[in-house]
Amino acid sequence: MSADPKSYNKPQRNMLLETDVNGLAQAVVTLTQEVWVLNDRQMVTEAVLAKHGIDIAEEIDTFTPDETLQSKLDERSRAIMQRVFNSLGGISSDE
Amino acid sequence: MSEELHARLRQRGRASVDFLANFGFGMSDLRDSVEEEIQRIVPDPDALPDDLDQRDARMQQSLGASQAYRATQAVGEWMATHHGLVAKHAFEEVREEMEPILKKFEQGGSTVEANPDKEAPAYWDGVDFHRTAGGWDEHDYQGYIHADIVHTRLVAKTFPGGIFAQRRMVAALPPKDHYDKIIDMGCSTGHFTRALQETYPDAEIYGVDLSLKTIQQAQRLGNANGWSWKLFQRPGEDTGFEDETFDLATSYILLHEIPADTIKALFKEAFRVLKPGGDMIMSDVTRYADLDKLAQWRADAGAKYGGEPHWRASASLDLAQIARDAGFVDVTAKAFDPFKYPYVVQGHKPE
Repeated sequence: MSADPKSYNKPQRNMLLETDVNGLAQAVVTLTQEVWVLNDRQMVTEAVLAKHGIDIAEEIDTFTPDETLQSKLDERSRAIMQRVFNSLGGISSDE
Repeated sequence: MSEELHARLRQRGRASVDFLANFGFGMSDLRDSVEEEIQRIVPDPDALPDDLDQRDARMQQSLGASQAYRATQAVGEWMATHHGLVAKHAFEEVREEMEPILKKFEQGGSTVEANPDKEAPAYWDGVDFHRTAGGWDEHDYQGYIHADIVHTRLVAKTFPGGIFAQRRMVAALPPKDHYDKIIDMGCSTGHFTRALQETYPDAEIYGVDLSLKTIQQAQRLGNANGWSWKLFQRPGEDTGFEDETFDLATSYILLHEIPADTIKALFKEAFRVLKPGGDMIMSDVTRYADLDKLAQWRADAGAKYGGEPHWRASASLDLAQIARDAGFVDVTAKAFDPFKYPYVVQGHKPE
């Protein structure tokens, strides 16, 4: 054994550098999009399930939100983006 | 756009496009924070450097200390590089059902003359305008993707003044109630061509653009509405038409996509192909001369990171003088309130 095994407890590891921050930002926004897509899908699922209570995958895929639901979707989407973007920009959010 | 041409996106594409449409709202706190910082560091825009590059360097240096500004740049970069991809992916999800419809509307009175063997000009070839990956002709249906998804579902929702209402307003500005033959120079997917046709229902309309994919979409739009547009893959500055062919020569939001010498050539070409007594109307982005130094910087930075290589030179030109130099008389220029946009130049070819 050539090294202190405890060194494995907290190994020194080169991770992100300052020059990686732009790539990190791109990844964060991509993640935000993915989270939003899932969030959107869940809300639509609930809306359609409430109507049918059956397998509604295709209906979800082709579902066009009505004005009321679209308004809710927009509101939720903007809130999620704001939380993530504000975090990135060092702005405290109310939520 | 005809309802049949308006794709019914599937959930992933629809939600992703909605995400993009809400992007500006999601960035509102960041933007407010950056705006406060700008007001603090630029109390007097007139004190900024005259040279645009030096001005940008000063602004970048000052704003670089703001975490919120750095975040707007990073998030904005994502939007710049991803909007075209998201739109393309949304289309691919519905491609199978949309393709027969798109093919159907490639038949009809509206026609396209492709010109694949003609060498594209250096100012256009290989340029990813608006940072659309691969440029306008990268995807088989790039014109459709931009017309139906990027323009209609994204830009139209947030653009100040409304992209379609502005086109209708400008199309109605020429002095005559009727034109027999109109040329739309740089017609792209046909948004302005449509406004022209709706304003002058009996007019015979010709359109030219370097991008084959965009004029193919204009063709679909024309056929879906029963119009007979003659569309050519040709540059606006070299249309190939006979002298004195048209009664009205137009362009809408083309000029900032071409270099200064090409703009001058385009005005001369418009003069050449107009009949004596014909009218000209060209619309483009706000002139830098109509903006203070801070607003110029905002526009210039937007162009720099938004895939607009010719914006600065174009927006710095005196288009009215260029129109006069080309031979037009009774030249007027007007920046429309409240955004000083669009900037519209009109003129007349003497009898």
